[in-house]
Amino acid sequence: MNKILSVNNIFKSYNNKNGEVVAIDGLSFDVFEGEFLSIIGSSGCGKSTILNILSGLDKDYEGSYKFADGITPSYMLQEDALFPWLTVLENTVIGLKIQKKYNKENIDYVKHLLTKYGLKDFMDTKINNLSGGMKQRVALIRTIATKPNLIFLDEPFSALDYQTRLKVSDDIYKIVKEENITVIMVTHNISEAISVSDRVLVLSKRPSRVKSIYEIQLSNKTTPINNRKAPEFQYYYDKLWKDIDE
Amino acid sequence: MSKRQELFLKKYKRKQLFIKFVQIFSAILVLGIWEMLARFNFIDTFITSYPSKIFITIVNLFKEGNLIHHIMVTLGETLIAFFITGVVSVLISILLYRSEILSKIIDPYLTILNSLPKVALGPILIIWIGANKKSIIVMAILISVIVSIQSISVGFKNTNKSRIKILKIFGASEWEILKYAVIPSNYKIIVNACKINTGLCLIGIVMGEFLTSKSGIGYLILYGSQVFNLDLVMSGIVILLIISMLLYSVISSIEKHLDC
Ligand SMILES: Nc1ncnc2c1ncn2[C@@H]1O[C@H](COP(=O)(O)OP(=O)(O)OP(=O)(O)O)[C@@H](O)[C@H]1O
Ligand SMILES: [Mg+2]
Repeated sequence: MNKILSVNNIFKSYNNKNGEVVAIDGLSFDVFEGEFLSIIGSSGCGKSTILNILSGLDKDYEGSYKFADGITPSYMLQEDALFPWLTVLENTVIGLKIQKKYNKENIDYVKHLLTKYGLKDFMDTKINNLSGGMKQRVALIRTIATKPNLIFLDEPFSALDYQTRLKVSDDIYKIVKEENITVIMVTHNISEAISVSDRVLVLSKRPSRVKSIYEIQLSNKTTPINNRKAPEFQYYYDKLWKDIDE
Repeated sequence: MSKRQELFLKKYKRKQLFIKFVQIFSAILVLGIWEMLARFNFIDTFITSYPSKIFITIVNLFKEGNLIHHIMVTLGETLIAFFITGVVSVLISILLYRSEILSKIIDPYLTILNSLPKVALGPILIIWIGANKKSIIVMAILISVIVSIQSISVGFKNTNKSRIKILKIFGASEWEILKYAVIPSNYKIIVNACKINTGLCLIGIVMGEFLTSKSGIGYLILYGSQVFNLDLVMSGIVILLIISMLLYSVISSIEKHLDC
């Protein structure tokens, strides 16, 4: 499989007048085309920081990372950060406008995504009239509207209740698979990581670096909800749980 | 519609009606008492004037043909000051938003300037700019612009960080961040500042007209007090009330139209 991203020995600290927090120290890993990679680690270990660096938002770090040619990443934040004064459609095309790709073809693509993922009747609705799960889907469609081939998801389901969470993780999984997008997802939910991922990367406590990487091999892998019923699920769960806890 | 909803709507309408009624009734009551006290010589109408006399004075001013002119002068000056204040305070707020350091540097000065009674600057303005309209307008701008900058720039600074992050992820320029996130998320605050500015500008204009003017409602009031014509003074005040009501309702309807 093709390597599309390599991260090399990244170091990051937050400095302010009250002191220094070293968030990442010596982080290296690779990402391969088409995979669903989860990064898990305890709260505050530096997961969002990693995505902020890889997405180019945070340029104040040491070390390096490199994307393969033609890789255009996009990023879905931990909080949905939708624009309440805009409609669902207007929210989802904002990236197109900024990147000067606001043309009929791309707008139709976004409309197609909205229709496909159950938001057809809400295109002209203001954001505040949507449920949590719908907002999450809008945020995802906004993220993929610009046709990225790699996306970063930061705790995409954390604001949702358990039922919705299962449903939305199924939805999102379906979307990224159908649109053929490589995913790096940050989470601290072990079951979620196992059910959606091809590989799970465990981070150490802060300052974070890679502690271990698991290939998730489930018999008859299908949707995330079904994957939870796989016989190997418990095995991975116990292993990861111990690994994070240590 | 359910019974409960019907009952609720009925109660709701009754309450709204009651509020309107008391508002109008209390105004009529006060005017009525004032009028009666005057008619039965309980108060000295030379000093207090009274509603019907004020009304007649206003009508006469109209007929003599110069009241419209005075109103137009004051209203015009107020609107000019209002627009300049709006534009200047949004522009300066953008500047302060863009430069955190600049904003920190001038913060104490803004606070100090804000608490300075601007009327004290009147004599300086007149010497520097001259005894004319320009001084009056500058006075009004000085009174309103600092509060306006402070409230708008606080709003800008508190713009949701994640929304800005989203735009940056897509590669937005500083200008696009302003256009798509900072300004729209502060519509409410800007409109609210404008609401306050109309009042402050009117205050500033009348103050300026007190200092130096040959026309305008402020001039009319000052003139009335100098010749001890309290009917004229009271009429001026009533006209100012009407002007401020007018300005307020214009802004309110714009606010509703914007739906923010
Ligand atoms: N802007 C900042 N200034 C100072 N310290 C920060 C800043 N952002 C994050 N940190 C610190 O860096 C560490 C890592 O933060 P980060 O947000 O990456 O954690 P996380 O793994 O995403 O946590 P969570 O699972 O709770 O989202 C934390 O200890 C946090 O306190
Ligand atoms: Mg985080």
